[in-house]
Amino acid sequence: MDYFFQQLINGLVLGSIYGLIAIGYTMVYGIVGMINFAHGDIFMIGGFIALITFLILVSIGLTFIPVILLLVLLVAMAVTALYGWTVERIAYRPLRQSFRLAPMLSAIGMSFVLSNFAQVSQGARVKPVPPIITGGYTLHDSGNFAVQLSNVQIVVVVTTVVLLAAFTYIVSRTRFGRDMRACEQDQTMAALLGVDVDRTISMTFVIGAALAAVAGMMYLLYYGLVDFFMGFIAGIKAFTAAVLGGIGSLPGAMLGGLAIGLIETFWSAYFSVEYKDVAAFSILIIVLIFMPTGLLGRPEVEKV
Amino acid sequence: MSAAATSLLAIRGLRAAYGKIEALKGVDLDIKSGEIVALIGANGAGKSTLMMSIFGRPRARAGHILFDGQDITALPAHQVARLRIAQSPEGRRIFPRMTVAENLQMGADATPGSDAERAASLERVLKLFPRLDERMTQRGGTLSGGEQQMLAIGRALMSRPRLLLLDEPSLGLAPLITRQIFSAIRTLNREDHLTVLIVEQNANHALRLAHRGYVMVNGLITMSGPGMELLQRPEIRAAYLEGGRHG
Repeated sequence: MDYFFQQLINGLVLGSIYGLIAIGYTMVYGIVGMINFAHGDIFMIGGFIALITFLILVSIGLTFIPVILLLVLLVAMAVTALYGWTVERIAYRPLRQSFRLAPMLSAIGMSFVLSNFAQVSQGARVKPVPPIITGGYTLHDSGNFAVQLSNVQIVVVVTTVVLLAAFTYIVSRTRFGRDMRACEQDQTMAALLGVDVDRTISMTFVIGAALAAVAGMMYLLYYGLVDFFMGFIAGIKAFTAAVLGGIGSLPGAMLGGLAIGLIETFWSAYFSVEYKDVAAFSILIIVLIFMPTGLLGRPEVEKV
Repeated sequence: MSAAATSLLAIRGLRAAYGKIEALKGVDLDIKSGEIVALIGANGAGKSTLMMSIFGRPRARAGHILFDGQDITALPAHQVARLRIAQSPEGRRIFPRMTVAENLQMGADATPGSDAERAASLERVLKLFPRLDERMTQRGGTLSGGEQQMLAIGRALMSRPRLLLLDEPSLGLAPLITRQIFSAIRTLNREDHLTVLIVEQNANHALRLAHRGYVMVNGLITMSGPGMELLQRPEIRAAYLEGGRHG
């Protein structure tokens, strides 16, 4: 039982990271109807910016870890958001009136551009960092197995919960959130009601990228490394999470992220690490066969 | 003095097209402040296109649209809306996954206004359409057709418009609901001096309501005049009231 609880904790932490990335996929899909294949690489960029910011802050002599972490978080979110905004502006907006596949192809291109940019500018080797947050708690010790909850796990989960609460508030209660949902449901009508649709779409990319940056930083803290290729597999996992939860649904993205994180962790713990991706994608296929719109997705046909 | 100088909305020689199909072939139309103007015509005559072209969708290929003397022909849709031109469009287009309250809030957000002004608009809308008050927390998509139409008009009114554009408010509604909606429009015009352009296939209702009417055929205005006068004309009776009413 202790072993089970340990895996549950590990799975929830991993799932939080996937969920944060998945929200970016689902938001963009909701508002412009395209899969932003460059989003995984935005997550990778976020990880690198977190690393660079961390090294700069340490080199100028900051030592108080909570302040460093907060500054790293803010800088990573801001700079990565700028990347998200730029990608939309140069690669997707000019193609918005084009045929449906065009922005998606452009997104795949952007994905290559970003990962190669990181490879060329930062090098191809894995960048390790020493553990920044150390220590933790032993929740239960049965003698032969101890359930551990590390401080870094607490930071990942608490940060995710706080950001999701803020994000949910923005989407459901503020004017910007309302404008975003209006654009999602009917862009023409939103424009007739004074909503600047282009600006709202830009802001959607900005928020999605900022959340991906948080995920990138959490990944860096949790695994202690980044590399230029990490956006690919994490991106595919998060995309799977978004589809599993029901693409276009924000709670679905988080739920899907947690589900993928848990499936992967439990499969690795009880069966084999080698097949963890196979397990995650198999569950996706099975769910989609029986629930084509995902766990919380809505059917395309609506009463109008 | 040209008519354009005294009109709240003046459309001059407007041409617009969808791809190669020209939907408006040089339309002139005037609406004076405080007027109800009806635009009637058969399906596909270009009535809805004319309304949407005020918001630049589709964008005019030639001609001008002046609102209160300002040329708005090239303005993006959201900026036109901020001038307090509100539309209850074809198909109502309410936001199905937002509550009734949020739909109304979207209308209020279209133009700046104090909290007191917004509260007053809301009170006005709910007084005109008490049904909406009972449905405030319900999602727009779950409303009946008549309620959706009331919501679409209510949402437009929330921006405290200077010009209200109504596209087929009676389409698909029971006669009783249609009467309620038309009486609400009349009240708004009399008590709040709201200027209204109403597009209708139901020519009888629309022309009785309107001060003046325009008849549109194949992208051109073919007749205009006071509403009751148009109603008496035999060619209108033949085309839009007797034989053409359902066609």
